[in-house]
Amino acid sequence: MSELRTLRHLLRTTMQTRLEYRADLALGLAGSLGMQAASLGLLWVVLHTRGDLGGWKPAEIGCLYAITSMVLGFSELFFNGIWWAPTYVQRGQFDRLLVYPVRNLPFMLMLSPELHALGNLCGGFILLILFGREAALPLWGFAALPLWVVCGSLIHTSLLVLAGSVAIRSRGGQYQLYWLTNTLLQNSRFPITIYPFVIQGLLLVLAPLALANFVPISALTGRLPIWIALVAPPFAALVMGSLAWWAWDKAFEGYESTGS
Amino acid sequence: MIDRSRAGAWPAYASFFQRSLSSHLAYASAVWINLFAMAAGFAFTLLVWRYAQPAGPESSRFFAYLALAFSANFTLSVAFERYVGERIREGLIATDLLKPVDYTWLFFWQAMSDVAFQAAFGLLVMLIALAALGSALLPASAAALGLSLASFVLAFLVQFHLGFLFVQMIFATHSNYGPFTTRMLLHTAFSGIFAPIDVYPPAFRAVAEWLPFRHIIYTPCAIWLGRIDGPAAWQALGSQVIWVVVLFIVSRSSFNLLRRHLTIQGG
Repeated sequence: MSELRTLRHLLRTTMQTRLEYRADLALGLAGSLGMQAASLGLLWVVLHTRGDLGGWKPAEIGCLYAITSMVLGFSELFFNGIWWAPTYVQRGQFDRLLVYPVRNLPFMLMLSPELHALGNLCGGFILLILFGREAALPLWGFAALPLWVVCGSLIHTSLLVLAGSVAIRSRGGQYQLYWLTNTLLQNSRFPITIYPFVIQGLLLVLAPLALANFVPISALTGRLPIWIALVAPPFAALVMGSLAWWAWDKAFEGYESTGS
Repeated sequence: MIDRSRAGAWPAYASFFQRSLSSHLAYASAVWINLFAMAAGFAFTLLVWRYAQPAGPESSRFFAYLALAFSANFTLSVAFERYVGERIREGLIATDLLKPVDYTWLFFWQAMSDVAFQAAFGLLVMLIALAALGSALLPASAAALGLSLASFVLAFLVQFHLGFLFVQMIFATHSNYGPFTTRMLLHTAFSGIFAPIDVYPPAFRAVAEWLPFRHIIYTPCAIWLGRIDGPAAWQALGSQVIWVVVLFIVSRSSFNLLRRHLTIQGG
């Protein structure tokens, strides 16, 4: 219990420090909303050439975009600290973190919440309402939305933790693996049926990000049975979360400081 | 007052360029991973367009554009927001500004070394794309080759000055995320990295034409492939030159203004 209290206190404190950078917050919020607008603009470019993608109508694809933004927003708000792992390696800051009387992975994850994530969360929610109405999504889908967003975020964060574990193990600043994870997330917002079978397998099994956006919206639009959308995302989140935690602990075996 | 115009500064820039270039060699594996990560993103773009673009002769020209745009984007990538953001937060920017060299030129040479190093990888991607796409990727004519090479040089200058302008925003925001995201979103949407701007819907194209971002990727690539030719190519080059001059003046004046109001943090 005391560890949970510590984490809650950490989250509140770090959020307060973020609020100190108000100009950056305003620019970040505008930037995250702008990013969504830009992504929708690029989707518009594709749909300008062809009216639909894989039999998915524009409003249905808009729902995929919306839920993906919310997943990203949730990760950025609660688990963003993992992006600092390579910097911590380079500066030897893990020396300090490892002796804190808390489990280091949750502490690391909550170390650096980004408040501009609210732009992704709120923007995504507004888009889901707008596109969901157009795509005639059933109302119960909104009740299951928190489950999908949280599971999607856990899957996304688990992949980032795996990337962070590689950075710790190799003592390098491999941010590129993080960007690769985000690239996978960003591209899972297209209907994955337009991709070759191998990529579909990647996004459904190995890096199962599509389980939190493509599968739920497929279920809500009658393309898949509902139970799959309710069972598969939590199961994948549990498996990926366990794997990430194991890899993180393994990465610190034989840890040597690199900073000065 | 530090004399930043003294002749002795130029050997310093040359030395800085050399050292930046050698530091890239020390992290060559990171560039490979970076190339792989960017190529993965590009592969998704190709997969989306493979589905959306109707097959035919126009299709190979379209994919030639995408391949050239990817190479150009990789080569011209400059991202100094993170570096500057950290220096500002930690107060180290004070020592940077005290150095007897011009801060803009320091970044310019760093960006030059980035581009020189990345060009080798960009060319490698071009060769692979050439093997896959054949003559569709070759310059439309000798004139197109000459004009597009000039346009690539101007593209670098536009990219650099835009980047430097956005970096200056960090002096006001004290954090790099906002400026970086803003630049990236404008770059992604309006540079022509995702698709040639001439296939954009009219309203989106109109916005792109008012902004300088199209001159980083679209203009040189479109001239190379003959999507822009004749008087339109000269007009595009002229527009690039104007943007370079405007961005140079704006970024220099705003930086001079910023320096006077700079508050140093950290210590």
